[in-house]
Amino acid sequence: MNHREEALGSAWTESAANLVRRRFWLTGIAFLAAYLALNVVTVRYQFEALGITLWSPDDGLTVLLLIEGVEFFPFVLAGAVLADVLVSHVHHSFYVTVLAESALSLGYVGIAVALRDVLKFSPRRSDLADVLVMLAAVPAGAILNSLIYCGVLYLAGSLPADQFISALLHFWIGDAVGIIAVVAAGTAVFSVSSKTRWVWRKDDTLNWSVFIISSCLVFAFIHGAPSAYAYHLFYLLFLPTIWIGMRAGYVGVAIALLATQAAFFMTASHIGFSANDFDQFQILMLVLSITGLILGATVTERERANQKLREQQGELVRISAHATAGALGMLLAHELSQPLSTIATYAVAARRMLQSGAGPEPVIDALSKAEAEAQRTREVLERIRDLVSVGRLQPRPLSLVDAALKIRALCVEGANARGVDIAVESVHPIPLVEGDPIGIEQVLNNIVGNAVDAAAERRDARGRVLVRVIDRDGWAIVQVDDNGPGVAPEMAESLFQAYQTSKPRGMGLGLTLSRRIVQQHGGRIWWQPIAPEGTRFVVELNLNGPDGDAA
Amino acid sequence: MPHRRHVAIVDDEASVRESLALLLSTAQIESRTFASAEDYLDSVPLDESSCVILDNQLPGLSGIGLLKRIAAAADCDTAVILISGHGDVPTAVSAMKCGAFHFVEKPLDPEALLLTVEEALGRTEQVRDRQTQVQEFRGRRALLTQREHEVFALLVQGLPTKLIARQLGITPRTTEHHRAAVMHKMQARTISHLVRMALSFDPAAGET
Repeated sequence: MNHREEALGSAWTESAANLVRRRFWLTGIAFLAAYLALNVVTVRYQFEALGITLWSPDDGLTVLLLIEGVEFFPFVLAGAVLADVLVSHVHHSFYVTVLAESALSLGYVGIAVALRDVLKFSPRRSDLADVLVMLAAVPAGAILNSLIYCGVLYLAGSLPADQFISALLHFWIGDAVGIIAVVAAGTAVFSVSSKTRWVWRKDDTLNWSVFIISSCLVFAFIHGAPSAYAYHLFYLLFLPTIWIGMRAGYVGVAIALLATQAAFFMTASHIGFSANDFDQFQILMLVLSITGLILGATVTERERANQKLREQQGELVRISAHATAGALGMLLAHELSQPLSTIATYAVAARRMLQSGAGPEPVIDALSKAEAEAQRTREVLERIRDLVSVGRLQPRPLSLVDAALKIRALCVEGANARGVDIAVESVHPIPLVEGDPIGIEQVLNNIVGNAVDAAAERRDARGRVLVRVIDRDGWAIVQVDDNGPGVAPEMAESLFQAYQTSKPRGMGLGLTLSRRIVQQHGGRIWWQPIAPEGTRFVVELNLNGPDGDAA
Repeated sequence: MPHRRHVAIVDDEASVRESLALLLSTAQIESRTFASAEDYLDSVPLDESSCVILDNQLPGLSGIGLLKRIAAAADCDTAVILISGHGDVPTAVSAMKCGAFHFVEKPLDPEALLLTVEEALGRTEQVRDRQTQVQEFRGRRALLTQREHEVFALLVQGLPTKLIARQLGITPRTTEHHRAAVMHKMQARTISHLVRMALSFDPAAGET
């Protein structure tokens, strides 16, 4: 037994180790391929064949890989040397290349370690704090790296003294812009891939269409204009960037920036700016990137806070409904047990008296006392009903569409997480109804919640709840359709009865209370199965108020 | 001997007190009712053995509080039936820990409560009978002289007359005499009857 366990244990360790090793090699080789491919593209713009590219997304890949693990260092060094020799065809000797790239790669290790271990940056988060840390650390680290690389080349005699400052600047700006863009995009990819279910919304189509079209227009302007104006037209790129940052948050802006940088690089190389001109654009690009990423991170953070707030509100609504039902149960049990005990006691006493052949007097006495106690019980019940009834309705004109949208906002996150989408439809403006907003929202929350539960039972992530608000013949009507499995036949009869539930954690009060509220509004609530699958719940409220006559 | 059966009812609800009293009366059980634990303590001495039906939710001293007082009183074998709200497990546990005879949940089942009361009264009866018997046994034993007492102790250990005589250093004849006196005073029909009495009312006697 022990031996077997040991054998199993070692087999497991072995396979796990194999997996780790395979992952290491796969990641490293993928990096090498991507790195060299990027170099083939970016080599079109380099400074004096010194291996200094004017835009360096490849070094962004390096930093991202080293943040994942410093043990990838050999791949990083190999990539840098191979790129210099095979792609850039640097003028200096192989030894100088190896020396310079070794020093530089160590510099990237420094940036990665500083980001990950000192500044606690993680590419798997996109908090504003992380983004700010990255935006500060990368340009600073790039200056050091630039000094290291240019210093080694200068000492080796490959870099003339009069070009030193120029090379330093080219290296720095190309590196800073490229690393920021790639690390940000990496963060975006991680955050998208970590989501269990990525939802592409209608909004997204619009957002990205606007971004792509406006960016293309700007690039067409830049490309078409005389090169003296190109620099001024560059500012137009702020518009699509700010748009996508506002609309799609950090993930959107990070991906958009990488695309913008790549597109700009293509445009610029096509136009054929000088290296010095290109640097000026790159400084603008740095400002654009920083602005866009801070904006995007801020928007995302606010969106997260909002979402959390909505979740908490939804939770609160559910808790309070539950708490109310629980408290009601306690109250009933407490208030009714006393008179119930007394009635039962008098009844048993009366029976025993009759059985033992007592005269009618004491029996009548006992029974009338039981009767009085029953009367008292009725009063207790009446009092509780007054207490918990929605009797104190405060009707005011309210829009059922707004109420439906509010409930959708409360439920949609949780529903999406369970593979259910909620849509609200209204064909034309619906007149306001007289209603108690809290009561009506409670009803809609209950019905929509039930519909989501039903649709979630499909478990195929294609659950759908459609809330349709219409008006017809003097009635405002809310239809809630789900495409769940439908109402079980044994539940169909008693759906609106109290304490009937098919849910493991339900009290079976939701629909009962809903019907009561709707009836107090002079309305109706009913349901029907819909073909081919699902259930429709219908709430009808009189547009002429609770006492009005509908046509 | 026939004994009048008595129950105390402590509940702040007049209707509960009245209905329970009426129910008990149909089983020929007399009852006294009290509206609070304090009322009960004022009028019933703690060492009086009886049966109490006690509501836990009382104004002032709670049912459990009164139960603790009753249980703490020395030489008391009052059977307490505690009534409490449905599902009140903590109260049920502490009631049983404090030595309640039974724990009853509201709403009450009158027939079941009646059975419980009968049971409690039966137990009180037994205890009371036994107490009376112990009292009588002790009274009789007090009548023995010093020498008769020594003979009684050895008899109960199962020694024959000759051995008792040798142990006490007296003649068998005198021993016979003392033995007859012991049997007479203790109202024992046979030696085995005497031994049984000694064992059940004074277990220490058989061992010394």
